[in-house]
Amino acid sequence: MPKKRLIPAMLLAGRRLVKGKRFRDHEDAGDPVTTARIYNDQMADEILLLDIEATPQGRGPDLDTLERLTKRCFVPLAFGGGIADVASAGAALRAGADKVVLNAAAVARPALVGELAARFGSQAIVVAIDVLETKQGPRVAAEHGGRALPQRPADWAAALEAEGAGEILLTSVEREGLRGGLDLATTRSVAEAVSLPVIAHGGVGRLDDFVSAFTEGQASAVAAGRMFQFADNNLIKVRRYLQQNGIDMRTR
Amino acid sequence: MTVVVDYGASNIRSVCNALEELGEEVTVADRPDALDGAERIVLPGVGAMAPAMARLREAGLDRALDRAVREEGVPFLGICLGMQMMCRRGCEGGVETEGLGWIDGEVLRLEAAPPDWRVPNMGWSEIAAREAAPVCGGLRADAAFYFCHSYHARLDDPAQSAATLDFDGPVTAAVWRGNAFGVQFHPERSGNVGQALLEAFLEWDGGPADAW
Repeated sequence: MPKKRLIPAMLLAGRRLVKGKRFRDHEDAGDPVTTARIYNDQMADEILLLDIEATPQGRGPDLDTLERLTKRCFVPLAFGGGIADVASAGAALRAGADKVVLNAAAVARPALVGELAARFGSQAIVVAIDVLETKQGPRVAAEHGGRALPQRPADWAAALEAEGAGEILLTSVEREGLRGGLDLATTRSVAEAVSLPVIAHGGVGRLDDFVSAFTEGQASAVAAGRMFQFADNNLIKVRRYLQQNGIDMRTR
Repeated sequence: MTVVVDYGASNIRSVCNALEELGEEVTVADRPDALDGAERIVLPGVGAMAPAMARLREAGLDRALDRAVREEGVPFLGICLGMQMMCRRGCEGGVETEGLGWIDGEVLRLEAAPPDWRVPNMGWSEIAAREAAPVCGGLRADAAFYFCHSYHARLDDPAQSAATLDFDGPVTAAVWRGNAFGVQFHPERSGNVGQALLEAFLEWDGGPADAW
């Protein structure tokens, strides 16, 4: 099977990187182009770049930053934020993204996933599922994590696969940025509901969290922001720890 | 000077960036006459084969590629969908598409077998390269490349296989016929290992002239 992937998640706001907690309280986290260079050199398996202001501000994706960033980036890059139709997805792919990440637009109109897959191929279409914990259990979140929908994450993931999604980016709203561990039960339920690769995101805090995401959670990849950006745990250290724990990682 | 073929269906920028990083002069061809005088040709591509072949034909690029590669012997590299288009035909969703026909094989959907084998196959895998193969023959055995695909090429003639990857059994990772080479993975997105492969392509003379 393919090697497990480590994906640094970069949140873009106003041409700077930011990092928040539970989708809010954002603080500055550096320059996107320089940071991507570092991740590239530390052998990130992929880079996730999300323009978190695009949808709330009702504008298209920040293609200028994307273009500058991909110029000297030689690992795959997934870009999200402001992808609302075939035109904006095509513009992001032409600007250097390998995949686009849909979130709000897929919730509003699931058929868009199929339209994009028909045009660009399923492998270029990642759909993000934000998860909120409710009294009834985990539910799909809308409006930047602000409102829970009736759908279970696993059911929504299966529906997205049927529409033509190529990958699922699963983020726990309540755990994001807190480093208290991933939501392994939801990750596994989604991974079992689809035959697509699933990226676990939101809450990684310890090195063992990566291991359990791949084993217990059945994730194909783990995305993390704070862990790689602010903590003393760069990609090289995390990768070595995973190898020592029997996880198949890229070594060169 | 390397010509990258642009038929409007894919992200060609990352391929151009990767070649330029190696010091190569790159031009982009969206018309048949832009292939004239090419020292090397790269055909990138992602997505489905049917619309991509249709676009290639509409632009007249299929005939121009055929002439450059088969008659003039220009070293050629197909990447991902570009490799699949080198094959005789594709069968996506029951629709048959005629490819460039340089490689005797057909393009089929990968069979998922979760939890381990998921489709699309996305991520890094080592490849097993034939020692005699050009371009990828000299790489280290533990070199891993980035794959991102839902389809694979099943070859009729094992002599045209240059490398395989393990996807619940061997699957084509690279094809080779004379001066035409193709890879299922993305060297332009495979870090240092990918750059080493592109460098080997830029140094390749195209092999024996009697392949066609």
